[in-house]
Amino acid sequence: MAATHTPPARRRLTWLGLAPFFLFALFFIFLPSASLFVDSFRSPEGHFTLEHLGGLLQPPIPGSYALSIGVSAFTAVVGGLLGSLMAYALTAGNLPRWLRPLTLTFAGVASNFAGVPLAFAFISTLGRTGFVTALFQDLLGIDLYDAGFNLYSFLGLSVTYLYFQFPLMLLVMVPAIEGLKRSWREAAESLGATPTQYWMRVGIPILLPSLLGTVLLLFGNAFGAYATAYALTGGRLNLITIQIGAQIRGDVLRNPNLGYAMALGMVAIMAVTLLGYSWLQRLSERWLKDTR
Amino acid sequence: MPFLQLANVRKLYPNAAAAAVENFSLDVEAGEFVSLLGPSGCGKTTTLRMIAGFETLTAGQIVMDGKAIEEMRPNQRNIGMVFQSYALFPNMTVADNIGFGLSVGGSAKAAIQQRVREMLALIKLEELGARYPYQLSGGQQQRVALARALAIRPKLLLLDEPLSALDAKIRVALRNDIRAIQRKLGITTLYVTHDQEEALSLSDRVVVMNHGLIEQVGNPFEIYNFPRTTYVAQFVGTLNLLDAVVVEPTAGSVQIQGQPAHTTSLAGCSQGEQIRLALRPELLALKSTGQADENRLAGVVETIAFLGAVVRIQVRVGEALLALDEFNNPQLAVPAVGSPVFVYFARSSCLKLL
Ligand SMILES: Nc1ncnc2c1ncn2[C@@H]1O[C@H](COP(=O)(O)OP(=O)(O)OP(=O)(O)O)[C@@H](O)[C@H]1O
Ligand SMILES: [Mg+2]
Repeated sequence: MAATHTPPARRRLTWLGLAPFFLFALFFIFLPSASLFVDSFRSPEGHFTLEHLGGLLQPPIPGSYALSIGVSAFTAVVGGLLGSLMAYALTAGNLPRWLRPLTLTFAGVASNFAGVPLAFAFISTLGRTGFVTALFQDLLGIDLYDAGFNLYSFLGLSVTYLYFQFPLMLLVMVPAIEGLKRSWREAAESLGATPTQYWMRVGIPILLPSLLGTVLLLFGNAFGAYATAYALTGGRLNLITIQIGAQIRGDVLRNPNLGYAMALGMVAIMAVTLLGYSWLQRLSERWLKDTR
Repeated sequence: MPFLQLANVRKLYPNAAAAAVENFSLDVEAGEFVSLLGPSGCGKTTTLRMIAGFETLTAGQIVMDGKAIEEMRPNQRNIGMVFQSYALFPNMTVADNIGFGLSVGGSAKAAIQQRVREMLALIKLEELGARYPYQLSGGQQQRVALARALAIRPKLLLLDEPLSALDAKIRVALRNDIRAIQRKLGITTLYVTHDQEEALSLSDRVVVMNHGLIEQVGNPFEIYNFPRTTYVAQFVGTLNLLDAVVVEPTAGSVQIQGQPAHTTSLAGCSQGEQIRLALRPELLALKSTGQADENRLAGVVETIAFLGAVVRIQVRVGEALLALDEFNNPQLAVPAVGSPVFVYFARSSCLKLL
């Protein structure tokens, strides 16, 4: 096929159009990352040092990483499962038609609902004096907090995060499941496969890259969250983002360079996550390309 | 007892105004290759999908190998299906695709491997077992799809426009391969296509469909040479349609554009009746003289087109335009556009249509 030749003038215009994006990326992504990198290796006096990086191994920092990773992984996996099952129910099930747009609109809103408003919404429903907590008490006679639940704990934070995690999964998985070709299912059936065999050997494997990729996306989504956790637990949970906040603007602990090093650690973890994501994305695209 | 029997099959989709398939009855013998031919939307796919079990019947029965199958689930019917879109599983290698049916059926690994090798040899892709579908051309993918369908030793093979996503050269090569493989295995086959050439060249019998109904069933020779309806005649090959008036039914004499002619198929007609005659372009000849019992119409050459092996000449006869084909050769004396000519044709090549 002949390449389409764009006149040079037009091409320059295209670049010009992208200039705001490049400027934005330069000032708010590349320069901050670079300075983060440099500052992580700089002593307050301005010399090169590995002290901050070494500081990452000092308690409670490893624990904070572990907690952040734990909450992110837990909510990504649970949100991923919930979201996938809901997406399956919404596409394959015989639910009424109007339910679909309604659910997707809700998911669109919910997946973007985070930060302080989300925290307060949960405090007023699942907090110690929250509305749902009271309902459990009055209707079922169960005291959630006596039963071991606490909104300001790992589980509480996870439940709060799930509020935006599973809708995001739903939003991604509905089109993915709908992208499964009917003829794959029919080919499998005519070859003697039961519906379960079709899902185990064809449907789920085809969805797996985008499924895992989205779970990684959810992981990153939760890993970087700060405002929700801070507003909800007020620093009672030692997430790595809360630690960084404390180091950079705190009064007692203040050690900005250690904060930078911790942020660099986060960047590294996010980079690995994104690499995994793009690898899975490519695998999925390659499979689905040219196979009609 | 025919191997496959469809009796008064009807399909009315929910909320559809008209039935997609209506009063469809067809017997297919074991080992036969039958094509369903018709334009888009005439119900070919629907018929095939009912046989495969992907659509329910609104009415009628389907019997295969002595058993009623319309209540069976698709995965119990043991029918191989090849789709227009190949429908290979993208997450599996070619070998795994071919072995899928045996694998879900619980066959032993060694038996599966053996069968996959046989199938790869059958489609002449021995080298490609380890590839993924996205690493194959369209033609190769469709071969694999055929092998996958045949690997389970189905009782019946269904193909729904398997070649229409491929380009012309591969289409012809692959259709010949499909037919050769079908003959070799002796498998009863139903083949859906909207390409009349494909249907005529491949099939033992052709079923011409129109708006969910069967127009005519016959072998390619019958369908082409003795179309029963205008619809079939027009759909299968190029055809001249001529309005005529019956002059003397018993003698077979008619008038075409005011000129006398004869046909051999006037049974049941009355004098003065308006009828429609069909004439194949290749059965007409431009000559200065002919046999006494040949029909002769006078006309004027209107256009001449070289189509390679044949030259198509259009002759205006009164109101009507007649297309006729002459085999091309260097000695061919092509008349000039605008010159008066005589068109000759045998009485028997002039068919009255229903
Ligand atoms: N799932 C469906 N629901 C409602 N109507 C349908 C459905 N599938 C097909 N139809 C209708 O039934 C009729 C026959 O369709 P079918 O797909 O069998 O035609 P076809 O001969 O295979 O056409 P094509 O050559 O375009 O594939 C068409 O009018 C079509 O619109
Ligand atoms: Mg069709």
